[in-house]
Amino acid sequence: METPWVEKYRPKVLKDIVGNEETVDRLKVIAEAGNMPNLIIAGPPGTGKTTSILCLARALLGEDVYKEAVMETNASDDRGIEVVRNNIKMFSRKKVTLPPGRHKIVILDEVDSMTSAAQQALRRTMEMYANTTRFALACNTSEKIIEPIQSRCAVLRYTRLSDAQLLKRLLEICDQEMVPKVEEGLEAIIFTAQGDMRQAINNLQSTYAGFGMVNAENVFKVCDQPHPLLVQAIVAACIEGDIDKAYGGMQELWGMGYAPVDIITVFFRIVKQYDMPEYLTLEFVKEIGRTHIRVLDGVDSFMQLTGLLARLVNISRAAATTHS
Amino acid sequence: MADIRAFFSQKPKKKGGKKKQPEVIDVDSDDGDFVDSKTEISARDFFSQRPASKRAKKGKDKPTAKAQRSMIIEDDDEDEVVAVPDDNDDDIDEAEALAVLMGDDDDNGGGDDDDDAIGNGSGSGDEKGAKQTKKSKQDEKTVKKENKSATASPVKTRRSPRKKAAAAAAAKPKREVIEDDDSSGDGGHDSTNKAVQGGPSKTSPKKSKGSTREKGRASVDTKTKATPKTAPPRAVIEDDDDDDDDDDGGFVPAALKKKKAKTTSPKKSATSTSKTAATSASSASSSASAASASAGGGSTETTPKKGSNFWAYKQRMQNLAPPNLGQKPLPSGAQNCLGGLKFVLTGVLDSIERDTAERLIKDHGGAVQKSVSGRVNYIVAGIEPGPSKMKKAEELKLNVIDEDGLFDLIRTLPEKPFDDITTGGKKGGKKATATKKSATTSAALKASSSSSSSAAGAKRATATASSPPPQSAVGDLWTVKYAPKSMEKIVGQSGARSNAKKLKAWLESWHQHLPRKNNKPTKNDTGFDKRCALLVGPPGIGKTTTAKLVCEACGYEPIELNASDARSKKLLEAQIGPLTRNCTMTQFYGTATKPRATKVAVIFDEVDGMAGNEDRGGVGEIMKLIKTTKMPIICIANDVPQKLRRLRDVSFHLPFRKLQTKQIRSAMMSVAFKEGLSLNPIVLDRIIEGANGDIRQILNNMYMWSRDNANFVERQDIIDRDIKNATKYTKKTPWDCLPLFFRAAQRPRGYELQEAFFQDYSAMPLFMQENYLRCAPHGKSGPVDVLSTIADAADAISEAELVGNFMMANSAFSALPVYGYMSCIRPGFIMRGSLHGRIEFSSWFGNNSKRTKSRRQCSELQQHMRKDISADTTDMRLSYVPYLRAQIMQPLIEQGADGAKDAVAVMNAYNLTRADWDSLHELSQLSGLPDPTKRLDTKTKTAFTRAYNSSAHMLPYAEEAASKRKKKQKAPDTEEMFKMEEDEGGSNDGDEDDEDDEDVSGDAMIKQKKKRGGGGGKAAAASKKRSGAKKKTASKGASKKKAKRG
Repeated sequence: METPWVEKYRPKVLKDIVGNEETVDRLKVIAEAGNMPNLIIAGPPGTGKTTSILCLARALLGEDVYKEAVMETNASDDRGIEVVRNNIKMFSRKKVTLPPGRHKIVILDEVDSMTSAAQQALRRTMEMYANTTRFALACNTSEKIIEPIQSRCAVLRYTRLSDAQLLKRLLEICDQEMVPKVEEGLEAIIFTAQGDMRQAINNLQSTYAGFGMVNAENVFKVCDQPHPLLVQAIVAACIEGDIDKAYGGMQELWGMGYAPVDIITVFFRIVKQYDMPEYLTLEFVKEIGRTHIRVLDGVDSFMQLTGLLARLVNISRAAATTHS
Repeated sequence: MADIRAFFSQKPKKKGGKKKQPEVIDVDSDDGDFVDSKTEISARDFFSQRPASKRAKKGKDKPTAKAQRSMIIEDDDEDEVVAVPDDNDDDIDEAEALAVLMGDDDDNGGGDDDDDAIGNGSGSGDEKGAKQTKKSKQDEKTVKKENKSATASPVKTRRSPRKKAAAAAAAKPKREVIEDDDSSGDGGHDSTNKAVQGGPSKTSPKKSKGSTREKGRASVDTKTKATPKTAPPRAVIEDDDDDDDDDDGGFVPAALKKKKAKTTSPKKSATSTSKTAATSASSASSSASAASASAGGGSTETTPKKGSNFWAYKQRMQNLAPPNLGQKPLPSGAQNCLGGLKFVLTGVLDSIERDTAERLIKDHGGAVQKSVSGRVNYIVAGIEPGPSKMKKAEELKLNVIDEDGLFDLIRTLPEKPFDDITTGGKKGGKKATATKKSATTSAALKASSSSSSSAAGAKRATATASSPPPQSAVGDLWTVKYAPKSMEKIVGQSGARSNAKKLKAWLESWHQHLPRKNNKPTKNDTGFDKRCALLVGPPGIGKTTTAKLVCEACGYEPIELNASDARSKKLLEAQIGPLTRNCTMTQFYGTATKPRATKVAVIFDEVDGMAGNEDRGGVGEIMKLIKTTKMPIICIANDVPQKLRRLRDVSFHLPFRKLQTKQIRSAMMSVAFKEGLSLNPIVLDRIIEGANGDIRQILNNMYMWSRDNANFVERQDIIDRDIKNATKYTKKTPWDCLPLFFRAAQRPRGYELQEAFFQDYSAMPLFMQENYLRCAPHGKSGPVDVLSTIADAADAISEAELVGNFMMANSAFSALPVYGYMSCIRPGFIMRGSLHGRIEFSSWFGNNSKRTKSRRQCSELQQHMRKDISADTTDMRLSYVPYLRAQIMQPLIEQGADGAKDAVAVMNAYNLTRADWDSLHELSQLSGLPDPTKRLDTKTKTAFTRAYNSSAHMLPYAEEAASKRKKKQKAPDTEEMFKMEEDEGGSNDGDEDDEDDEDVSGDAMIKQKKKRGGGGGKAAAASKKRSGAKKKTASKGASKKKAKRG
């Protein structure tokens, strides 16, 4: 198989980055003018954080010195406190001849996976070598970054990409790869991706590779989670007290071959968002929790799931009688 | 009342006095200059409040014709008393402007003035000033008395609460003296001044402002000689203030109020000030003159110290803070409602600081000028307005309003199109000022910071004054570029009681206080008894900066160790330990540029960041260093977690608080100006609040946001969004989160609650369990109902616990959200209602660690005894411990010291160590039962310990572990610090002897002796007696250890 499309179509320059225009615009200005501040880019996965930083570093330093003046680490690297104190500090001290306004860049991808002790060790390094080295941090949630680090950085936040932005990019890729597609297929991809460009592209590629044709059915076959709508129907049936309908729905899901853990996880996600009295939600959650534990414990039979349904129906019926 | 006036009248005079002095600082008359200086000042706030000297320099640089006129400041060399009679306006302006400047400075935070004064004061004035202060103080006092008796010197009273009356007092008399001079020597100029002041007193009829002014002028000449009587204009203003006070019900005593009620009622309308002045003035004049005369007389001899006047005035101004700061809501008016209007601020306003006022005016489109001219629309006068300004205002028939008047204006004036201000009359002025500005800024920058880019920035500003382009910096972060370069420039650390000052005082006296071994804790918070200072505060407010700059200021060479350095016990011991008893190279070799620093200080930055294997034992080692250090140690942390508590106890604790918006504002404004950002205070405030007062963050953010657009004002929407995005995430504590779960009305959404749970998913359920009974559930019909609700909640919690335990045991964290719902949200929902009382920390943590400890002790005991008993840990605890304890205790209780031998024999029989004896007690002592150890007297305990130590024990296990354990139990507080490295093993080589000594000293049983012995770690005295015996054991232990290691 060819290279993953996510890599193949990863933007090389800032202007190709989709979404978060204002923030990216600022990065562009920095790319031209130099003097990059310490950055934290926070945002959900697949919104172009790492890509932005890589593009920025490349634009600032050029390919020639990139290797020498950029230190790239991500969660796959050891980034314990020792590494911060030794490798990163050493790199910060290193002399690399760069044009004025350009600095060495330390890229720390997925900083939220760094221990807070390691982050502590980073603090003064960021300041003491600020005249030669700048840090670019990417993370999913900035709350995992200790406050002093946040204080030392300009924090940029990326948001999920809109459906239109995803679609535009997907269409471009489809054109280049000559992927046969129908509209519903792309819609399904966008639905499952939830604003995550990487997932969208991955799903596109998987669907194409697996089935050669991108339509809704194939997409859902590829994206392996129980379809939220199906689960929602089951929950609705439980609330109505219609055990037969709920059972039918569960049987259908089971028949599709989903893992019980997946089913129960989606179940929980749906229940907690479902519009029903909080009391009911919490009772449901309690039962789901119990079942969840059993499933995790290895008792992941169909019986457990149907038992759950029965209990849920009981709860909602009891609630209905007390209320009426 | 009259007295009061007199009292005040001195102030104006002081100015006059100054005028005489050959000027030094020229404040170039034009507005431009003032503006500059103003901007500079704001810059200064950030960097410093450094003003005077610099300004003085500036002045010297551009001496002009005007220079002579400007009269203010201290005497410099040329002692010619330039009479400057003619020039009136400009001079006055300048004088005033200066005064204003001074005022500004003062607002910003004083403290430094002294320095400045000294710096500038070329000799004479200052010295004399110093001498004179005493006298003047006395004078002052008399004046004060008079005031009081007279009725009510509102101002006075107000001021006195405001701290430094003394300093102010000192200032006043001097002024007066000078004034006398002036009146005689200084022709027109002075006279004009006085006229202004004096005018009103004469002219009681002045009902219309216009007329008053006329008269005032007319009377100028005559007045000149009359010198001391100059109070009235002051009085006017003061009265105003009083009004304000009344309004606020502030500090004004009742008597005062009465008086005010009489005189001031009309004043409430902003513009009617002069009237009141007139009335009050007339009544006051006679007594005023008397009072001032006497005051003047007292100090006449001292005339020559002109120099100090200005500074004295300045100092006084500094002491004047808005009396009702922040008590009035800031008005908000139609957009640009003050468009095209020009204001001059003078004096200290009632409820807002001057820069706030300026900002307020600018926000609404008005312009603030520094000097009075015909184009100015309003004079906003506060307490102690500049006399010459007031005079001129009267001459020009300008509207004088007070703070309330300003607020009224803002509230009532209609909206105006925006162009007015930007293009209209303002622009011309602005440009003119801009050039000057650039000049001054660059000068200032050169002086204050060596950063080359700033000069460039200034240049740029010159080039395009009105709309400077976004700057492309030369490669420094703003946080570096605008970092304070001297102590005075640290934002928020300028006050006399600021942490920086305290630290400085501490550091300066460090070596003096060092030799005293057991310094008794000092009552006041000078920290002189401590060898280490601990700076604690949130990030970005200048802790490290303060530490470094203070070191610098005190001539210390800081050695910094921060979290990027490994700071384990070993490394500290090896590197820093010797260092603290050492000298540095620079002590011996100094260069011309960098004189030798003779003293060294160690800064441990980010001590709370000492974690992990690499820093093992670091905190303990620091504590140890503190005990022996020969140089000051400064520790810096963001907060004080458990492991630093003890460090805090032995340190001079300096908590840094979050800075207030207004403290940061001016500094940021000046940065914005230098960087060519268009930024108004409204937006700035939002930025500051968004960053939660973290200056570093603000600078970073502003830098980032200014990349693609330098006009923050126009693109407010974007900035707002940015602010929201950049809002620093600060972790909420369980205490913050818990109430959410219990909220009955407006239940938070599920995801919010889940978020709250995820703040700390391990602690939240425990907090819920600890506190759910503190919640009174709503809508329950009776106790039974409540009880069954509580039962439900308890049920829910226990149910959740099942999930939680399973999850933890199996690392099945996919169930975490479910666990959150079950453990927190559900019980919270069941109990929803009102939470009463304090949310308690979960007691589980304490109990859990107690449990862990008990288990450890059990297994240790069991291991020691296992050769002679047949029981596992549980059996041992249940069947052996109580009896064993009784067995050992019995001889001690019955025979006292004589029983020690028997007790030791029992212990030997079971191979117990001295530490085991302690464990035994701890394990078997159940709460509520009498503690048999209490029945032993000290003598018995000592005898027992001695008996145990005096014999060698044949133990069937390695004693080493035991001895380490022993230590642990000894100092329960510090143990965390030591424990870790000790468990590691092998980290403490070579000082077994020491340890043993410490062991004994730390022993609970011989506490008293230890105390007598005194001296922190060295309990040598206490242990001396048994040192012989000890050494035996110690060396034995040591040899064993060595053998083991080998």
